[in-house]
Amino acid sequence: MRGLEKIAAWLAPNLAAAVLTVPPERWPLVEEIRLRAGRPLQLRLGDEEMWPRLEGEPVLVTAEDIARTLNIMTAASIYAYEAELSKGYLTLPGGHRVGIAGKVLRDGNKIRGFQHFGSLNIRLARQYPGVGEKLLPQLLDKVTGRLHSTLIISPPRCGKTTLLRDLVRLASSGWPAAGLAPLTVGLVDERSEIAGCYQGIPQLEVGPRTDVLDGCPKAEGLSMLIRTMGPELVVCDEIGTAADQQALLEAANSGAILLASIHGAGINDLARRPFGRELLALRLFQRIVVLSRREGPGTVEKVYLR
Amino acid sequence: MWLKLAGMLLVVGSSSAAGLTIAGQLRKRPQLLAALQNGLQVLETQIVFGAVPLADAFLHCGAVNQGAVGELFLLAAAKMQGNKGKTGGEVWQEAVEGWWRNQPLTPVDREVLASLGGSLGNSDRLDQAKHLALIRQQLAQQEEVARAAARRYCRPVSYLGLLGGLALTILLL
Repeated sequence: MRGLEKIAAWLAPNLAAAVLTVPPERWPLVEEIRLRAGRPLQLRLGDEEMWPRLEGEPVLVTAEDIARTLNIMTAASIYAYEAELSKGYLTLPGGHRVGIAGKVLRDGNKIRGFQHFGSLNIRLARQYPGVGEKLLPQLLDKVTGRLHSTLIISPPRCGKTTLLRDLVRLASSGWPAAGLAPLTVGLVDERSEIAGCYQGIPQLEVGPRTDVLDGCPKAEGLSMLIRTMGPELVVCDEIGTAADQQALLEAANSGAILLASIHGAGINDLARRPFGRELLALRLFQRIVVLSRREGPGTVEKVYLR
Repeated sequence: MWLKLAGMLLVVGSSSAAGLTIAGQLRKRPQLLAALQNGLQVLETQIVFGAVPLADAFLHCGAVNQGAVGELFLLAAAKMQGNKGKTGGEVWQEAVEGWWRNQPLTPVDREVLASLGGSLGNSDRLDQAKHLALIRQQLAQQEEVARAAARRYCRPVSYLGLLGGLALTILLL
């Protein structure tokens, strides 16, 4: 089995058949598989939508199909994935992320899980080893070769996580060509997107010196790593709360290099938000990288030196 | 004459053996129903406190529980292996189906046990605990009924076997 066949094996059989109607030469383009109860199956290949057909008919997804699919994904044990489900996602072996929507089950103000599953969005994890190589020299100190603390600003689906992952891999392995010595990396992977851990083991390439706190809230995770794992570089994705900011500040003060990402269209866009303004004012990051999708995902728009 | 005597003995022997077997089943049923409740309690612990995936939880229960109950869990564990797409509940129902006929259980007992299949594995731990507790409660009721039946019918049935055999031989004489 390869590529899309492996993913299709997680789906209810009729949906798997529909997904595999994509011609094999286009398999590498598939980014998302979307299941919505009562509506047709949708795929996303790059910027293009696709509604697969079986025998000329669009494939209608039923609630039963979604239940079957989740049953396969959880090895018939929904209860064993409670923590992930209450956050609205699952991670499959291979690091693929399954986002979930539906009728939410609440416990007071907290989300306990789902009463009914309405939608699944399977986002295929793709590794592009090497995407960070072009950028990396700009993030290094010209004299010492030390990595600068870096913030990646990017709108969704511009390859922010992919870039972050490759930078982690490079930092963890070291990159002698650019004069970067290997670093011990502490990675807080709150949504299991960077390392794609399955049962605690990274499924994606994050380098030999990387310790991953999987599914851990960023603020707690950062201070936990600093206290226990002695990281030289700490990494987290999609920062956005005052607690995250505080934890980053503490990490920076303890001497660790920071690597983080944040949602945003650019540095001005970030500066307009109170959180972003404060973050920039702290001057925690010496390099700020802005991504876009102008020339495909992962286009580096600009690198700011600070 | 000897042939007749041998025939009589055979009739009396087999009918009283039948009586004893039925009496034995009556006695064993409440024991098995109690053991099933214990088994489900172990399963509940695995699910609620361990969040252990169903396949492993079945295996554990199979190892921990002795006798027929252990067999049921091991059968379910075997059916989970290489299972593609069946729900935990469906696997459980299949296992119960393949197991109960050789056990001293009634169709109602089987019904209660199989009804766990409606929910097993398909919700969060709190919900699983509720369903498992409900099934255990129903099994406890069945056990009560079974105990009453055993008290009432055990002796009469074994006598009936013997006496029925004797009556039959008298008729045949």
